[in-house]
Amino acid sequence: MKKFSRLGTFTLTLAFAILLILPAAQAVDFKISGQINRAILGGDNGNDSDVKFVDNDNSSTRFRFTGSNDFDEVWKVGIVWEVQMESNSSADDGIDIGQNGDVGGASFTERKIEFYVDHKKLGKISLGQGDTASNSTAEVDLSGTDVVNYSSIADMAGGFSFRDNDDNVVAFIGDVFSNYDGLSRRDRIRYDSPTFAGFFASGSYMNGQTWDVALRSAHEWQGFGKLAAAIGYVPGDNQRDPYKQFDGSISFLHNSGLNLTFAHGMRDFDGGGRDDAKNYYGKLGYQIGKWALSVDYTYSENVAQDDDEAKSVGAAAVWNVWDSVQFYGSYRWHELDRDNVSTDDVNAVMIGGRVKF
Amino acid sequence: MQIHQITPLKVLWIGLLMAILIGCGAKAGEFKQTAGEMKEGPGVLTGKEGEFAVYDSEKGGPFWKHPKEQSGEASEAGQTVTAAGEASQDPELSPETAREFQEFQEWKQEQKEFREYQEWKNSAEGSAEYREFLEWKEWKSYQEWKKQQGQ
Repeated sequence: MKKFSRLGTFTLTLAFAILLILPAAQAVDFKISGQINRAILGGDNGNDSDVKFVDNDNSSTRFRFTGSNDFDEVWKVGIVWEVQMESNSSADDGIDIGQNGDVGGASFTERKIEFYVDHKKLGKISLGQGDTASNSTAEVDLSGTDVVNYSSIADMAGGFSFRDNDDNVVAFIGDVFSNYDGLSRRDRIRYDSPTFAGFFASGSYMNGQTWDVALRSAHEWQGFGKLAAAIGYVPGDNQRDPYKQFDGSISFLHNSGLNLTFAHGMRDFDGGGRDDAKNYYGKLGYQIGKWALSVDYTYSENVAQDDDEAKSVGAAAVWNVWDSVQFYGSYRWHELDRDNVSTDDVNAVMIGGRVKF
Repeated sequence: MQIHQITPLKVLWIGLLMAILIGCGAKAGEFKQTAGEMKEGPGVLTGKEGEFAVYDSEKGGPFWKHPKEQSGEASEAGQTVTAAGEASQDPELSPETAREFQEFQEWKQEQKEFREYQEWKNSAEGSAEYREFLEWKEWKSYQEWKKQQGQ
């Protein structure tokens, strides 16, 4: 970690120095921002109940450095260095009901360490650790409640487990639900095309001879609403990703505040002796004043093992009390149907706040 | 299920969706990922910008301040300048500009005092007779003071 910190500091200093040394005829900036997102998480697994103090993994505590320099009106070169530090992540197995201690060893973990070259007409190339092209394609969400509820439902209470009648751990919530959202963040090279009629395409290539592609769109109708959508495809079939994966999501926000979101993801294990795994997610929401409300439903099958069926229903309320501060509350019910095992449902309640600084 | 196959039907569906969006008069919007990402907008410490600018060439170089803070600082500078004479109450006045303006005011004051000295020197008050008269006045004052001490 020490080595990582030293290397990171050196890289950042170097990048900042380069940005300042470069001809400043065009705009140059270097900025710092971050957020803290902490919550109280209560849970009941049918045998026991507990209350935890967690970092909300839906949008973890983090900070970032960004910098950019414009050249010749059309070029922009920039850096992004974003790290997170979660003390008691809500998705960590270590916070399971019955575990009395905190998850130790909180440390910085990488999210983005990259630079990019952007041309207004040619598109953008990013090199380093960052979003793969397919990342977040199953997570488009205009509901305004994504800070606590979105298609990656395991972020809220993924560290809680389903238990059998003898209180033995059968599976963790985080293992039986997945939205199959692309390839997350990796060390890669990524290309984003310029936007054409509201659409843009992306592709990335990374270690393990793995690549992925994605298509995103955003449109607005004056006096009616806005729509955003994305699809991603991972051809996989290699040693690093021995599967193929497809996912997509679409979200519509009407001017009245009513909104609808749908996400779907599936994974083909390439004949690895597994059935295809699937996930379906739907959300109905409403925004009124400083409030955003939603209810959602998730169905996942064959995620941890064949014939698993996992279902979840959630309800969330987010209060945007000030521009920089949100308070939220969420309830989520989880069910797992697994062959030859009887498990109790898991109920979870999260109440917390996110403060941007 | 062969999900990796890009069949003509899938291409057709995507093409149809694109055509519907464009055909329905939809305007291109900005795609912003929200789920899982950091909150957009203002910050409790960073204000409206939501980011602490270590350096921003468009807003006054390193550690630039928000317009509100800038106007406050300019106002303070303006008060100092007002005491010297004129002041600019421009809320967009940067600290550097305010300092330069103050230095200009001080230079103008020095010029004025120098001109007054020159004028005095060239007047009757600057002549040798006048200086002798002043010395005689001081001598008289000294004598009066000594007389009072003697009583």
